[in-house]
Amino acid sequence: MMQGIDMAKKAVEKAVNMGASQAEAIILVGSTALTRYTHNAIHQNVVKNNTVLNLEVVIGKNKIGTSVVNSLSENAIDQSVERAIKIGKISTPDPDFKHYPEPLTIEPLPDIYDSRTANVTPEERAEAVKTLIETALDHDKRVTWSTGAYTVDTGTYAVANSLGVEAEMTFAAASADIVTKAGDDAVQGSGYRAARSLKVSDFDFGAMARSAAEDAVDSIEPKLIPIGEYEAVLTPSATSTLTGFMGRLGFSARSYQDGFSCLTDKIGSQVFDEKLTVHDKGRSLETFGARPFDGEGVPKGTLRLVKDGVPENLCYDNYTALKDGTVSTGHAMSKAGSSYFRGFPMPMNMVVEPGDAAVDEMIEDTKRGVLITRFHYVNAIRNDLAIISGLTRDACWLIENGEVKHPIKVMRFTDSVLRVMKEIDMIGGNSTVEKLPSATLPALKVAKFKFTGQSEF
Amino acid sequence: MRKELAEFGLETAANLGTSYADIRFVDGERRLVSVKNGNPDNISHTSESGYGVRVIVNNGWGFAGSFNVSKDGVKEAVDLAVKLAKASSTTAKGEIKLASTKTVEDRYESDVKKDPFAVPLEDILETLVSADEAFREVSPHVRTTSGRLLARVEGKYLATSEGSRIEQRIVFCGGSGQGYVMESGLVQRRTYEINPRTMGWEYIESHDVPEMARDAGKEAEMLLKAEPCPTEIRTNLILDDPHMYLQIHETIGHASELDRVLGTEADFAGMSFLTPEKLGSFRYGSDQVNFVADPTIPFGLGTYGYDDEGTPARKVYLVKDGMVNDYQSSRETAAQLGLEGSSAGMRAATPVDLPIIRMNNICLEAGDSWKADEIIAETNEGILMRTTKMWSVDQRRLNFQFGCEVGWKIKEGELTEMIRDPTYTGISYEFWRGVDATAKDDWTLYGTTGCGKGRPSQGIYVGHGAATTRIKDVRIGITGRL
Repeated sequence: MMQGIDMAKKAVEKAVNMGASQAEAIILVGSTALTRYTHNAIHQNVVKNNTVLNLEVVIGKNKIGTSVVNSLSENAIDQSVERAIKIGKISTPDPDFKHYPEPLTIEPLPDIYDSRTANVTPEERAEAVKTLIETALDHDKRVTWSTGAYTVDTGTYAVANSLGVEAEMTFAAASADIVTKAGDDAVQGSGYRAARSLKVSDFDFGAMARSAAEDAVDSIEPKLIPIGEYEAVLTPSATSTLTGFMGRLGFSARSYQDGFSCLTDKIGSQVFDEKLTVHDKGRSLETFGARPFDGEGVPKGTLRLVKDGVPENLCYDNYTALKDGTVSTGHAMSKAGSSYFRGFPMPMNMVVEPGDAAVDEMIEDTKRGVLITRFHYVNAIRNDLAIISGLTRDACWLIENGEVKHPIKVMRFTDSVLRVMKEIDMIGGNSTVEKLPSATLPALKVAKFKFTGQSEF
Repeated sequence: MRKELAEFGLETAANLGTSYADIRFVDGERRLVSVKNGNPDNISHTSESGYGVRVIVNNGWGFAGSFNVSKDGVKEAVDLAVKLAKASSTTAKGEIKLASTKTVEDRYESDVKKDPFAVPLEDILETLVSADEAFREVSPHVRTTSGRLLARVEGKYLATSEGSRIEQRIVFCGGSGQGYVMESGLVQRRTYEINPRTMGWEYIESHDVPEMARDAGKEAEMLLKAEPCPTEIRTNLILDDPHMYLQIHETIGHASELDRVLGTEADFAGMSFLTPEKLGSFRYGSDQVNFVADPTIPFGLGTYGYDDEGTPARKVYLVKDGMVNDYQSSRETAAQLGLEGSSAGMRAATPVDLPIIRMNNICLEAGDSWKADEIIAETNEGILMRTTKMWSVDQRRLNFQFGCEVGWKIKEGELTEMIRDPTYTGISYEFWRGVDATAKDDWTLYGTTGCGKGRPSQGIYVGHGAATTRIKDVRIGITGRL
């Protein structure tokens, strides 16, 4: 059977033969297997297979047409080429388009595919879910139910273009999560744990469930606290929300070129706390999304984003790089399908340098603050100032004079990522580091975090 | 061929011991034309043909979705779905019951006058480029502009083991555009929207898109001179544009989805505060507040003949005279709660996605006494806000916060100064209890093509309708630092 890269090359060749001056074909063939559970039973068990051929052609110097199909049959490829060329001929010129990426040496990264992970069976997923459910129930009699999912994604992504890029990778990745509830509905506590790895053998489902159950029990009977400014101890999950907005609103060359980056005119300035150093390590296996190349076949590498609190570099794809007269940093997003962030280069493998603090030390160091498990539904109010708003979710606690006092109800925050990350009191050590979808990072303690609203549970 | 494959799939499923099975084929086409700064940004045509198979075995659900449209592919998908269902059944707590629905053989089509896929791309590009130019003509401080027009057609064929055979052809069109302006470090945005509807290209042609862009450009310039939103005040809020759809969407739309209520989305999107004991007894809004889920409204973005379980479209009062009255449901969740039947709320976003409860057209019904202009004329003090810029709501749909692109102060019955970066917040039921006027004369259909829900995540098109509405005593101006 023909490989993805061969089909991509074939589509490019056909496009050029039919008059395209340049062409780029992306092929994704993959599947998502997800076993989802709630109220201590599996309620959704799904395998979703996916096939995408994304073909872009250039007519003349810079008239571009795109066709996307979900079939790799000879007929579908032919029709897609014809359609893309027809669109390209009708299109008007894009003066910012110069050319597709030129080929560079890509070192393979075979460790992103673990066959054991790729071949987890429905029965094995069901067994793991049973372990999650039963361990949480067994942990404490106040635990009532758990919900979550166990997911395995596998796929092959291939890129070919008429300038000679030929890249293909096969990957597998797994994630598991659990939200455990404890206590009566009126005073319900909620604990959350998640694990992600390129190898399912890394997972300890029992340990995850015990931790989630412990937090659920410890967060029964949450109380309201006043809105206002608090110190905050942020788990890696909570911190990753802030670094995610830093990446999207700050370090994307697209947002910078469009004029609404929160780092406009601030590259090279002391924007963040001096304790903060962040790299984007695109092919590092210490990140969950390690890949040998980006969405358009440019090798991924390491880019320093922040050194001692000073932002240094932007993330470019080929299009934005050529517009600024520079080279791609290997941050093109996937072009397979209609990805929300298509054409929006950004860091997806952020690694925050750990410090040496333990979470207990952060709590001891807190006079009046909160310990936050994670955030929910966060959006930007002002991109240019990185002002965002969202809510806490699952177990959170009030800290007073160095001690955890009591669990708190859901709170709304509205604050600037720039302001929050300007005063970092402590950075967690290696033992606090977690691997999350777009970042690998430790816990943080920040001096100021502003709650602007309260919920009722 | 689809029909033969469907029969083969159902037969295969029956032979494997399923107690229920359905198979849904979808052939979709999507055309997107977008421009940025007057140049093409993405001109694409997407085709997809695939199917999903859903089965119950031993009280466990299994689902497999595939783009391999062939007999071998269907066999493989059915086998996999059965295997998944058997694995699910190992944790089953009881019998899966489905609320009854009549068995039908039928066909439904959106009412389309002009096929959007027959419109020359040149004409679409010309419209967008003209709009881009119009925005720029009136906006000397423009930094970036963008615009897009979208059309989608979806042919579905659903066959169930209970005997339903349903063909549907759903078509919708819509679009939007926006510009960012910048002066002395201040960035502002103004958007214009052609709210998507299940209509043909005649709907797009009924708009003067360049004129809409010109109006947006003028307001964008005005925003650069506007005062910031007052902070931490409580006053009357008036909503009269597409932003209203998101207020409805987030606070009653998602809150009344029965899967959320019963906890099957608890791990991801979350749950709902509208728990079953509130049915019929909880005051969600003032007497003037009536919310419906109605997939039968002509041209709504969530308008269809049948949902993806084959339940005929029907209108459901979610909130009647301010009281919680019903839920958006599936056959399974309706049976769990002992409801009369499914609300016909099940849909899948793509051929290979599992159907889940999705909003269809969730609407605030028009009032019966106020005219829209009377609402403003009768408001002594307040703020009118338009166009969503930011949204956020907690996982039980209680605490929400929205930001809009633009606002106007209202003083003694008249719109006065424009304000920038307006925000407001509240608790859902307190907010809707504050409604004291809903217009009878400007009820409009809105919609969004990107409602996200479920795992794996599905983005789907949903409709909303509302008229100019006044809400009293709303907390406005949240950050204090804008």
